[in-house]
Amino acid sequence: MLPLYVWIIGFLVGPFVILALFSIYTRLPDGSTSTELTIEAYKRLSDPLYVNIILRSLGLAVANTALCLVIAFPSAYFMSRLNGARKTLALSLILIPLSTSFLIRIFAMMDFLRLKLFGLEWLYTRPGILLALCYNYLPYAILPLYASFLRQDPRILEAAQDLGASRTKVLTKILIPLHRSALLSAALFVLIPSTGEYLIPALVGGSRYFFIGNFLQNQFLTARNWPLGSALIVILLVLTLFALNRVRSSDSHVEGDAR
Amino acid sequence: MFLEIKNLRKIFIDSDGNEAGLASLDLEIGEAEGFSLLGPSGCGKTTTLRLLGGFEIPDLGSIHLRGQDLLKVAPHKRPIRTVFQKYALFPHLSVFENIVFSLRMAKKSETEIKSAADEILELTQTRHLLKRPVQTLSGGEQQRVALARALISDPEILLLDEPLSALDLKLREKMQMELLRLRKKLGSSFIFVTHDQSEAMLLSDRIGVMNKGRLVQVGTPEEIYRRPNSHFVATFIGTANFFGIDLTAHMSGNLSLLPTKTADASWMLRPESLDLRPIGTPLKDNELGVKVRVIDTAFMGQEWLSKVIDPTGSTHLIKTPGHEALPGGDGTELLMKWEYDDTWSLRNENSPA
Amino acid sequence: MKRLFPVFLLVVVFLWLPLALTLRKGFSHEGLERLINNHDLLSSLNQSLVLALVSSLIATLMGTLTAFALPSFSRFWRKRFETLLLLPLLLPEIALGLALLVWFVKIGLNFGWGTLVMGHVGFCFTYATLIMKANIETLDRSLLDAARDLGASTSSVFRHALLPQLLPGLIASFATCFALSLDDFLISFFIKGMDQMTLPIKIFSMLHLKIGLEIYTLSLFLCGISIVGVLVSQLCFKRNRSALQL
Repeated sequence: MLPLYVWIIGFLVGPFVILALFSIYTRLPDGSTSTELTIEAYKRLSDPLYVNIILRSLGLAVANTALCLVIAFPSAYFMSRLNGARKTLALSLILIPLSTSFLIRIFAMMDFLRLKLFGLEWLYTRPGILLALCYNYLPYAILPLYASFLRQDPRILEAAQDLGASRTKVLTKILIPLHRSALLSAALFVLIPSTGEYLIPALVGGSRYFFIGNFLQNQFLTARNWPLGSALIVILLVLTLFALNRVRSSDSHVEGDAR
Repeated sequence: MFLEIKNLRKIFIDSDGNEAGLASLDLEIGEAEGFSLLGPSGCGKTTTLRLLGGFEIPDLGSIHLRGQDLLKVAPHKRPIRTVFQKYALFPHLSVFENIVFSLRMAKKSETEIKSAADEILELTQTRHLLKRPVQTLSGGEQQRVALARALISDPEILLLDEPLSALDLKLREKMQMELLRLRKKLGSSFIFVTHDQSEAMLLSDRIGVMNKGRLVQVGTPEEIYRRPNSHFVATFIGTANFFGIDLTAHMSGNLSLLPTKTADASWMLRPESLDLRPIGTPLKDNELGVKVRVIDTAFMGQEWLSKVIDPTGSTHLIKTPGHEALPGGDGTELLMKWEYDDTWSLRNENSPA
Repeated sequence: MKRLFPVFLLVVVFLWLPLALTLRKGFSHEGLERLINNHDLLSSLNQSLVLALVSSLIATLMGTLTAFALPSFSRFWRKRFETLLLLPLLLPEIALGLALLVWFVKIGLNFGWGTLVMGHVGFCFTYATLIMKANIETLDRSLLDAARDLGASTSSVFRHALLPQLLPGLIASFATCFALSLDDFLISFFIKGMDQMTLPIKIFSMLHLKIGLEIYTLSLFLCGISIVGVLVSQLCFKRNRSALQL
């Protein structure tokens, strides 16, 4: 068991501890870092320039999450109510594109966007990036929702109708609250990774836009400002842990069953 | 008539490719009546329930409640409530919110909700469950919450799907009393769907026996038990013993038994109508008797169960009071006798006559 | 319900159309020829396959051990660990890649096959653990007792009662890790050494330069294999939908 613990500490904890350390080191003019402690990096991040980048990335991520969830919810529900063979087919149709190379998918999407659907420019624009992001993340939004719908007794919806709920009410009062934790999972699984997405905004957006992903790549590899980059990652990490904890603890309050 | 079902039909193809559902139903149910739809699985009773609740649309036929065409009314607007087999309580809502759900949907005021809730909590004795999460309730508790939830809006008709099946014996008896009490108190009609004949007999004023998508016989539990109109009903309700009767011999005053398969008619006798005595016991004027051999016996507390075989090779089941000793055990030859009035004739459905 | 079908259909079309349009370029004789002759590309493929194989085996093994060890932790530590475990799934890839980069630099490792494998095992480990955890929850321990009752030795109990039950999870875990490792670009980019050229990195450089019809042919092949893989894991592990729950 010991080597296991070593590994776990080594890979799940270690890298982030080091990053946290780096975030409070000083950057020397030649690009290396000294171990002198300072919170300069965090202070610099509050500069409007950087705040803008963060907000822009968040905005894009939120838009992506919303789009994915709105599409995924009815799709996953539909899939869960199919019978036997059709269900497997539906699931496979969703999963197979995921198993092609990520790069191929991005470039395929770029070729597709080049086609100027509806006479509009899509490539190298914000909407294009959003569409490409959604393209990539949609299956990840569908899967947890699908799993949750599968576990639900279909009679519950009938019971709600039986008790006088119209179709809209069934959706808003029963279906959505019932699957709250799956919705939160799906949202989290899409929101956080898309905030830090690098490849998709970089390729689909060309060099026109600057998001967190570009920023990090820039700081670590080009500008060689490791403390600044580390500080941003640490902030991301803390926010992620916070969100994760909130979702998981609300889960165990609502459900109260041992799984 | 309170509830009128005419020519109702809903057919669908099941997973094996066979036709299933309801072939044709004509039925009238009275106000505040307790009615059971009884039959084996696949007989169409659940389809009927779902048609009444509005969860399926019929191919043909009509349903009228107090003269109003129910098919024109959307399921969530019908004055019919359903208690589902697995109760279908909302796991994300508290017990209280579950119970008052229908009132919230109808946008009743808080005071109305509170007073209706008070009443129904009292009536179903569920007040002590209010603070518990839905998942921690036992089967019986869940059922009472489901009942409270369905009854709080005082529906005209309550549909119950296999209400006692998930409960153990003691709870069953208790629940049966509860359901009777609730029905009398509220004046709603209760329609039960079940495959368990003892459940049907316990709970209802009348029973409709169904088979293969059709209604086979309707009547009070006693009528169905004592005067079943077919082999199917006779064997579905309780145990039936059949005696093939040679009609011609019978006419001339001789009791002559035939194997049931070849006889034109059968006599049906319930196990408790048969009695076992030592050979040679004299028969009274209204009694008939046949020599049998005992194959197996079992003591059940309040009764003895005896399995015997008659000269034609048919086996019969006999119930005699537990406080009397059996005149003989396995292997002995005894006289099986019964009163003529207890016999019930059934045409043999397979006979050419 | 019927009204939802168009939504689903749209989703499927949306997911498949761009892919189909691009991959059909690979359906050519020329593509196949060029593929066979492009030794660099084939060598990258080889490297990636080996890397994926090794990483998946290690990750699955570790994931299984972890999943078994998990119940013996106290509730508190178990929750903390599970949260930690989910981090690689949530954090942006670039953050993970950079974190590993910095880590390896700090502990003084040279970038090469070692770091590459370690990194891949790093992000596969979570999936392996989650899948095996779900598998273990459905284990029927009475089968183990029955085997012992019928006279089986410990190794026999393992072989005949435990392993068959674990097999669906092991296969699913291996398949998932394999696919993830094969496909990884960003993290590999950061933690590889000079000599390593995994497939995604090779593909990226070729696509950027807009050369290489053979890439599409290769992708077509890989896609076909993935389809088989997905179907296999579907059949093997029907019960495991909950692996992706938090």
